[in-house]
Amino acid sequence: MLKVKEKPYEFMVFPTVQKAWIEGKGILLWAALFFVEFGASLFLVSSFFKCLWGQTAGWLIAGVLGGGCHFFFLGHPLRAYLAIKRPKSAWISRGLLVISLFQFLGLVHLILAYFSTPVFWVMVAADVMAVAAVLYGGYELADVKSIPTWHSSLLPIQLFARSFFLALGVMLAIYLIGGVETIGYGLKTKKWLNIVLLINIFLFIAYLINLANEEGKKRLALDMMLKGDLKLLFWPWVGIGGMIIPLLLVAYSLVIGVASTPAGVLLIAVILQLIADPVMRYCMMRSGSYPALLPGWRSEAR
Amino acid sequence: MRWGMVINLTRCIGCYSCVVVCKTEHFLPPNVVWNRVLVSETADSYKQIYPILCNHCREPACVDVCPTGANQQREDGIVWVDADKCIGCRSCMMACPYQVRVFNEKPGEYFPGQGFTPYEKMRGKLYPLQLGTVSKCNFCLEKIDEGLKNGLNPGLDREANPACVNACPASARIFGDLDDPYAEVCIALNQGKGYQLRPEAGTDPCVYYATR
Repeated sequence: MLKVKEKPYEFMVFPTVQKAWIEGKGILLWAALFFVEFGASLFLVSSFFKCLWGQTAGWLIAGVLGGGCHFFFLGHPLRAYLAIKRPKSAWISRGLLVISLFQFLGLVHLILAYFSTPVFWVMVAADVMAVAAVLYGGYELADVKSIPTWHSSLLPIQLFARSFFLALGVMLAIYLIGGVETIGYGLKTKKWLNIVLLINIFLFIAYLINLANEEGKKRLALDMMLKGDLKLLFWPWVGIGGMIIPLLLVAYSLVIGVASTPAGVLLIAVILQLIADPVMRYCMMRSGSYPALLPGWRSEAR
Repeated sequence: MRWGMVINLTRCIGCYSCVVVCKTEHFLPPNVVWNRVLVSETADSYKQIYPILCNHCREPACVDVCPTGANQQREDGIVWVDADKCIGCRSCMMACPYQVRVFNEKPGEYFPGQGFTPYEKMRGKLYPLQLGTVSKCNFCLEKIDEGLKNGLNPGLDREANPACVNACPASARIFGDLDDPYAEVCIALNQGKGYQLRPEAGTDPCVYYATR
């Protein structure tokens, strides 16, 4: 089974977990990808519902937290312009470029919205860049061909969907706190929050099933999460907190009637899923491993 | 011209000379290793010793993913890192299927708590490693270039060979031009039935392992 800390003599003799993007300053990339994707998704979702505070919060989360973590993750952050200049070269270049464009267009839109009349096309352009910023993280990870569990064409779509519905859930929850029972387009807040919670649970399960399919019989990353070094992180926060408790709360809501469900019940579920998503991402990045190098060991899991 | 190496596994005695000489040649701190020796036992108790270094691949994944162009491949096949362009994003470390790249963090002391030795202090003058960038084996390209400039033949003349090749007491490492069919490296490759590590990664390494 994969181990977080292998012995020095086990390095690349057995399948070895990646460290560059999760240990030391590498953990900032995990935080950066989560904040950029969640923030940009919140901006995008808020645009659909013409929610200015949501757009502002999303823009700030993606820019200040996501951009800041990206900046401090780099060994030489002041040279980041070298990457932005070459968007054809790599996903990290494209990512830094789209985040910069999203931040610029988002700022123009917010200034116009707060101090003048918002221009529709500026908002659409900012939304397009927000979609690109949400997709970037998934493509960045999926582009790492050396880590088989990441090199999946489904990963960017899954991460996009998870970020989108997580942001939608958070926005609906904040509407609920504000006592708004019906949001734009005549949608009942509580009803839609129940649906979003179920979709998020389905997306967590879909990721695990896809991971199991990608790994085949070996299941190194999946076993590391379910039974190995990450089980104390995965089960309380993702398994129970992100899936089982929200499922029970949604079931409770359906039993007593959606309209009469106390807002606190749904809020707890949203908060638990808001914690579960970054934990799931951490587990995913922590369990990414390189196949063993030595021919005699390549086909054998330890 | 394409520089490459054949490592004869039947000759390698696992003495770590290549690891040590690489560190001394480039003044590498304790936490930076460009040459490694992987040792394992298979299920039938057969001991495997694999010296590992940058494979200077023909299709280098690290060059493809570098966002700034800091990772470059010369015409002679040597893959090197321009530290002045590196932003320290570690994409190349992630892309390398062989995990032979190192992120340069604050250098540790060989004798912890006792400060740097005079030898370690020379690193800053002779072979500075930029903090926050990625480094790796460069086939001792300074020696190769200097040798070629002086009319030497890398692979034949010791002065123009990578340090690990010269230091190997069992002559397990053979270096030379893979495009020259009469070079010792090509003969060793053909006679020893040389193979590459993880060919399925699609990077086409220029470091081969021979078992004859």
